[in-house]
Amino acid sequence: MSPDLSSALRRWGPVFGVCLLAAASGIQVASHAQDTRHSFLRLTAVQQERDTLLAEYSRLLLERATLSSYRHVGEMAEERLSMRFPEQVTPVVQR
Amino acid sequence: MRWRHRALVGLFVAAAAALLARVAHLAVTESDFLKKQGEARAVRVVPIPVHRGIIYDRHGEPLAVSTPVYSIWTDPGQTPIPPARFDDLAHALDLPPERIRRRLERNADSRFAYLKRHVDPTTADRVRALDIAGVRFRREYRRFYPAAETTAHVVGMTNIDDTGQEGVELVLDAFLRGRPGEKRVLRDRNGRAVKDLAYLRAPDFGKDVMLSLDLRLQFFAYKELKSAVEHNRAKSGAIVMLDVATGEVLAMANQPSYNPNNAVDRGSPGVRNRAVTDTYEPGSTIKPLSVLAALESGRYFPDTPVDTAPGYVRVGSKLIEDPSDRGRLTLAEVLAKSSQVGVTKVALDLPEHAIFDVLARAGLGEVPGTGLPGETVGVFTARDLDKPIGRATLAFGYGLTVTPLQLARTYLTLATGGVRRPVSVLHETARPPSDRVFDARDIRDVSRMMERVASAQGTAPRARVAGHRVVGKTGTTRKISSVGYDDSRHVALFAGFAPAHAPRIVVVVVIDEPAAGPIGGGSVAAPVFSRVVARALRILGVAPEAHAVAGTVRPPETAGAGRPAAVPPKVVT
Repeated sequence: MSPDLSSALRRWGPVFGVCLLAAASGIQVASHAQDTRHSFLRLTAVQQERDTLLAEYSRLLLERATLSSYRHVGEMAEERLSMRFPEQVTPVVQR
Repeated sequence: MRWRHRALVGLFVAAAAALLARVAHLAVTESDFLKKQGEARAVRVVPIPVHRGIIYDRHGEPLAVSTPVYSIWTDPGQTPIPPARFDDLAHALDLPPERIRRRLERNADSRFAYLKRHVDPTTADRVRALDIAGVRFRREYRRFYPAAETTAHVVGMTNIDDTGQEGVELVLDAFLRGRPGEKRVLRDRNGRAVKDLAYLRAPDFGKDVMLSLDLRLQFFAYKELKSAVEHNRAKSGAIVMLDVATGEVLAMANQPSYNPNNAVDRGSPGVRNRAVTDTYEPGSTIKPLSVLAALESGRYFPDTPVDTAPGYVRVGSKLIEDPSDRGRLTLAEVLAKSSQVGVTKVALDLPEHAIFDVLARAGLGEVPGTGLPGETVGVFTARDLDKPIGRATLAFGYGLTVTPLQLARTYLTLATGGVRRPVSVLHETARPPSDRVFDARDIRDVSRMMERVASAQGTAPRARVAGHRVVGKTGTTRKISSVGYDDSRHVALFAGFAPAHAPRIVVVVVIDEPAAGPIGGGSVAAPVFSRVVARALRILGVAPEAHAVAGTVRPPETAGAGRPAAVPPKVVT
């Protein structure tokens, strides 16, 4: 290595290194900002999906509650299936 | 030409330089101010709505559910809706165009006006598709109550802003409601959020609540109570069912009731939860505790004779009467026949505070502690115990008042064999702390005596349940008017528990002012007890007792009087 190159490296090496670190840091900041935006978009999408599922769940829950209500089941049992509450309690002995 | 060209170039250069200088000046000296002003116009912190927790019964059946809806609003001061779009908007919202026009004219200078609240997502999508400038959407939640009036008094209701107004919805409002989150958004010039910028606080969703109610038992209790109130043309009614093992409220219903899904019903008198707010004189339903005080004294036993002849007794200036001269009765018969004279003589023979102490240990004079709004205590005082008439009236249930829930709690102490338990409307996973307040042998004796109440010789044969022995007591009290006791207005009560050998449920039925003929607890309230207990024991899987198994279950209109029928057992091999 020539003495000139060696002296230039000694003089400009630290400056070059700092510039390199600054550039890397800048790239990192941009990369993190991009990651944050990406994560935020994903969070928003997941929240929307959650809300949609919650809405669907509550709707299904209400439908189930309506269809399985005792009033509804009782009416179906009496009107469609001609079922009646037993009028006699009959002892049954299992052997 | 040349100088004009130069002058023009110079002018442009000077203008560009002036602009650059102004930009540099603003960017350097007023950067923060301008940034704030820009954000104030375009950046907003908006809440992230949270849905209210679901209320379930003890088996996970939903009793109150929130579903997302949209409230459609506008900012007339900033972005007025073009009048040409009024008809489209009105059609999509199913409102008269004139109504929208009037509303917007009235709020022309304001920054906020609702067009319609709580529209379903499909309608909201229809409005959104119109793409009308100035129309904005706010996501909210609407509460639905699948069991409607059946569970209305315990579950309660919320208002249009999703805030609890009655029942558990009010008591546990903060727990159910949660806390909205916050985010920063960028808005366009029409005020619409176009971009989420930052997530400031995560939403804290409302927590779910599991009640102690069993929707199956609640449904039958409500149905039978409603039928009885209508059949007897009564003013109102209440029924409470407790789980003996835990003290949980399995069913609590009132008549009249209301539909919490219907905004019109919300101001009706039916909103009041009479089972915890209304007090009644318990009448003869207190007599088992008076008899218990007699047993505790050690001077009385179930077969101790009490002379009730000649069918009346004078206490001070008051005459206390039985319907007829029943002569010499045992203590058990005094209870089975609900003899006023017999109980009076026993009460006057006991120490002054004996009956009062028993009632206090059973929980009278204390708030039941469910936390339901309006829960009250009633009147229970030792003020008149120094007077014989005060002790006598206390012994047969006058001079004190209780709520149906308090009476149920008192009978719970009998059903547990003398152990007092707290009552709760929340589903308990652990057994609650309990105190023994009565001797188990005394309670067993009282229970056996009370079984006779539902026999053919007792006051309430219509309380019998086919296949099961039940324990209970009737009560019929006159109501108080401005001039004293009113002989034309009564309260019919029945309180009891079943099955007798290993109690599972306590049921109290109160029918206020029956007006269709019979007014007694044995004729009006006992049949409701019988039908509700029959259904409940079947649902809870309680096997009929071998020696009480055969019987006839009467349909609701005629039920109650069924004597055990001699049905030969069917043998399955």
